[in-house]
Amino acid sequence: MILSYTIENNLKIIIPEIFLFSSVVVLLFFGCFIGLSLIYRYPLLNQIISKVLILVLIFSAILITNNPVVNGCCFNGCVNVDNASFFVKLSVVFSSICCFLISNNYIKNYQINNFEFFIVVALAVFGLNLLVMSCDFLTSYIVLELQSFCFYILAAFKRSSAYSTEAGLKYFLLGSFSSTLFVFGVTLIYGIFGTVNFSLLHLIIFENNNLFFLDKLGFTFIFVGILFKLAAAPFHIWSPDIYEGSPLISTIFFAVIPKISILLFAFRVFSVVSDKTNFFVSIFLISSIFSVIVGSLVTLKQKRLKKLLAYSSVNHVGYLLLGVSLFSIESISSVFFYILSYMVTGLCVWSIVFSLQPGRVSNYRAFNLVDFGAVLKTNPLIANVFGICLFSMAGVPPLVGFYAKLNIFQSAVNAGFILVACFIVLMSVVSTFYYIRLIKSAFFENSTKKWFFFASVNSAHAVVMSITFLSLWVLFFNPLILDLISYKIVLSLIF
Amino acid sequence: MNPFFNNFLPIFIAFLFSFLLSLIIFGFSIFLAFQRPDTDKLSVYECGFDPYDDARNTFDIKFYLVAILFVIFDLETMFVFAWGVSLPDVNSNGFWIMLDFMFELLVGYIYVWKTGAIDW
Repeated sequence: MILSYTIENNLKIIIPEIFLFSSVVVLLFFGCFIGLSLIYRYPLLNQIISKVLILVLIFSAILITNNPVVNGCCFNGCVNVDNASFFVKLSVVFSSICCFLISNNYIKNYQINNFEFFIVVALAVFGLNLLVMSCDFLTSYIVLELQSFCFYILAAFKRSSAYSTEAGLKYFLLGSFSSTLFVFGVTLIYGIFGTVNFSLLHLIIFENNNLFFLDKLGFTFIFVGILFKLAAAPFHIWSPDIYEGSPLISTIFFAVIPKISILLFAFRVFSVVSDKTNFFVSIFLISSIFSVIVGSLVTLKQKRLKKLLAYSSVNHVGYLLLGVSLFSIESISSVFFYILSYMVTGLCVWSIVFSLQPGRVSNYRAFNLVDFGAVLKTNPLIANVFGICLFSMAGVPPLVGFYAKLNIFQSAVNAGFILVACFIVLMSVVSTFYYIRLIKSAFFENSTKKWFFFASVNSAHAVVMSITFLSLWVLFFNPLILDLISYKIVLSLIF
Repeated sequence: MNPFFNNFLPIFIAFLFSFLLSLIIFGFSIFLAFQRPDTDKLSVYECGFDPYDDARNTFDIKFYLVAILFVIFDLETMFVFAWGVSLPDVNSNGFWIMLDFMFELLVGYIYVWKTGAIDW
């Protein structure tokens, strides 16, 4: 946010992204010329491409960590790098590596043979990394569109399934509508202030005494677009349908990865206007209360696992937005603590859901909650891990989810939002119910007569599952790592 | 006049001019041209199917694919015009970025070609 940087044009900043993108291009050529060639008899390349992309992501993580520029701008202040973008980029890259490792088995079993799948995912990661760094409304709009387009394609990837194409179409229509709102807000802002750069906007707004109606309208449209992308409550309707309809392998990618970078982007936009008016605070606060209510109450009626997880993610976004709306040092650090621990928990839960693929059934049907009675009988270890994961999501003490929720509520109480904090705590009690009901149906219900034969879990998948499961415990007893990361993010966001 | 609106005056003039020009062109084509309508000329032009038919019929997706691809490669010319006009002002950085953009467009073209999206 420092103006003197905007003259710099330091291309070293985006070397990791350049590397990621150029390797994606090379893999696209590889897929075109080898995968579609008659001479090699149309080989299936997905396994190879996913392995190469894991390597590419590891290399880009190394490039991110060894980047000589810690703070700086490039492209006339459109792209800047600081500690916040550093850590968020690393977490996006590592979580996507975990998703790649998990999804390897699924590809073999469900015959996703188009070589584009992982390339599209890598493009989405590229877009998310750039979104984290963008400090300019135009750049961020283009990059938001890039990652959303990748996710539309992923949602519609199983072309033969009517559910999947329906999900993709819904996602496309609603997502492009929200992008339209976003871009309309940007045009208003540009018409009024004459710039789209965050640091310049911050200076102009800081000098002015008051925000006028059109300024507020523009920023409101922008925030509505962002809340839509986050699936916060009044704008959440798309998310359960799309989670349910799209193939499981795509669901994991847009359930786990994109939230953190969109949240950081929301912080960057919010810090432009935060110190002038309480109007935007109330937008985030209302959205947070709505999402907690919807996430707690609507989830009680869900009978499908993926829909339940979608609504529970709406619930979690509600807690996050409570922290966003307070915008103090404490609350921002608690938000990043929450989202990082939520990513770990989400990876664990989705990897378990992945491991519960029926072994021999060809057409995948999403899990009903009733079917969980069979999990304990067929694979008791996975059932136990699943139960503990759900406890962490619900916020039961010896797990990391407890600290995350506690931090958020504490920062709300310290900022003086005691009534809101009490209400959200009460709603989180309601939300605990459905996690425990899931555990009940897994452990204490033997009503189901069906027996499931699950496909065996391969080693990479097991490694991801066990690491995330262990970190649920380790991060409770030693939350220092998450604390330090979130405080570093806050320091670069506020100062 | 408010300087805020003053900046937009050229755009407004261009808007008025384009409106007038389109009116003139349409008007002359109505008054001056010979009109000999028949059923084929008056029917709605649609890609490969009858627009007033049952909506549940299968239809050919090739037309739409070609149209979408046309939009992608046509929009590129819009960037090229703006780049060509401002080429004296952008330094070598701007030049190479445009070439990079062209290269990525080429990658997309090769992908489209190899996957057979433009085979008829």
